[in-house]
Amino acid sequence: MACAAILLLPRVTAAQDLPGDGEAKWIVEAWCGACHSLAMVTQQGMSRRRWDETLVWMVEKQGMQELPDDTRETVLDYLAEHFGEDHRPGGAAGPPPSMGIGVQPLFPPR
Amino acid sequence: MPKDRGLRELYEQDPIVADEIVFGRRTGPDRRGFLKGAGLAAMGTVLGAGIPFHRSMPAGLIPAALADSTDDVVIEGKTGLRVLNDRPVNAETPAHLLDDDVTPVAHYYIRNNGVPPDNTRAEGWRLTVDGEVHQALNLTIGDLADRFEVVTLRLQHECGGNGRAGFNPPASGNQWTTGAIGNAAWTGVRMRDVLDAAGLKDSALYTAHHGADTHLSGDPAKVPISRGVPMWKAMDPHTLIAWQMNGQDIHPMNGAPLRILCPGWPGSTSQKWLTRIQVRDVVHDGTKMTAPSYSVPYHSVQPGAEVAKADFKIIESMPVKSLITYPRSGMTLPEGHRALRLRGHAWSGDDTVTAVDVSHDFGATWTRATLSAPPNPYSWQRWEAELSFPTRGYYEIWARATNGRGRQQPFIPPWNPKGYLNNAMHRIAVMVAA
Repeated sequence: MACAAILLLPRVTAAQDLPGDGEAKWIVEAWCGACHSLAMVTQQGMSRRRWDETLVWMVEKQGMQELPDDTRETVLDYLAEHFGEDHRPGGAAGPPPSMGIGVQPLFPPR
Repeated sequence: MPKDRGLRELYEQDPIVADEIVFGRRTGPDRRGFLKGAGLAAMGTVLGAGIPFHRSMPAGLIPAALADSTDDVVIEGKTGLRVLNDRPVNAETPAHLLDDDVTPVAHYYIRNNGVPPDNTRAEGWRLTVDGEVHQALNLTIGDLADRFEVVTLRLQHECGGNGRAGFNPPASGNQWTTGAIGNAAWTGVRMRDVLDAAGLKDSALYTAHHGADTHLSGDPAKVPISRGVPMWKAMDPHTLIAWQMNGQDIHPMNGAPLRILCPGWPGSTSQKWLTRIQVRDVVHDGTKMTAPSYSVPYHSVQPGAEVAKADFKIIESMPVKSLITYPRSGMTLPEGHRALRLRGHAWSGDDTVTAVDVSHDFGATWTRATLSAPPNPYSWQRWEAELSFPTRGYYEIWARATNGRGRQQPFIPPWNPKGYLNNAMHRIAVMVAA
């Protein structure tokens, strides 16, 4: 274990897409996915305002390239639509069957 | 402009050419602004700056980014972890894999903020101690072992964001459930002894920890994380500079070859890939030291509320907490069986756990568990209990720890903007067949 061996085996053919389509989805994949996993996006559930703050933070603190002015609103609309406060993040690996925290039933009614 | 599916096919055929084709095709006259500003920048980010910080990945890395799946991430030397994120790597341990008194390396969680260093060999690794000291030090790991008493301690070490997934409205960040906690046996030297050798000046107030990991953006001027602790915590005899984990080399993802263990405090204070301890005369203001990072509001806030930065305080001791590590949630008792022995661990930041109670009726009644003393301060503590179920059916088992100051785990944790310190009672489900 001399080196930090992490093996990434991209599932190119069976890739799981971000939801939706259009330019905003493409920009999110390219901009956000350039530095961190898109699982970081899909894990979140935030209002449009908090997504806006997050983009500002990414530019100011994390070195993200500015989004072009004419796409910023589209991107925010996209993030708020698909990963808004009502999006209950279950984590990249999907919601655990019984994570045992919070007030949701451990076995949801079938 | 190619469709996404076509884009992936292009990348499968020739990733390098595909990068050019895809980014080149963004130069349509209708998207002039996008092209000049962002199209070029994205190409630079993904192809140029991208290559060094994705050095373990092949060229043409966009398909991996698009793949958006962590199912197929394999981390050498780790098994059974639930991967939350692959860039940076963040992975947690299911509760039933935390049953051992000493957490196995293979099941120890990973919380990375940046890109780990390529070289994590002990040979040639050096630690600098400087700042508000009389004599700056520059030591190899061999020097540490030769000059100071070597100790081994079992230490509980939990991410400040463990349990974030339980907050509503959702808090931003990796959505940890219950598995960002470990209790390994760490071997190293006391940070106190090293700081004493350097000689603290009267002005010494706070430590600043520096590691060899690099920023995700690839920008060498940016630091992924640099945190610290007040001098009294640094001088606590259980705060270690460690180079072994369970008698083995530390796993590369857990900070090999040298890291801090600052037990009972947010895991981020236990800097990985440690290269420098700087003693400061002010509260450290490195990356992720300032609000809202690893900070909570001074006052209780309404869920979802905005909190001014001035109203945050830095998290110090973690709260009282416990886990049920046997049985695994979802167990069905065989027919004719109505009794169950269960067990787990309990821990409480800088404090000791004095009681653990379990309930099988949604908190209406409680049964006192048998609780072991910690083998050394700052280790988690084993608890065991036996429950009898009156009828067949669906049961939840809840566990609730109490510490020496009378603090108990709540059912619902106080909401805070970044989703820290969720010490709500752990629950598992058990089916009694008949």
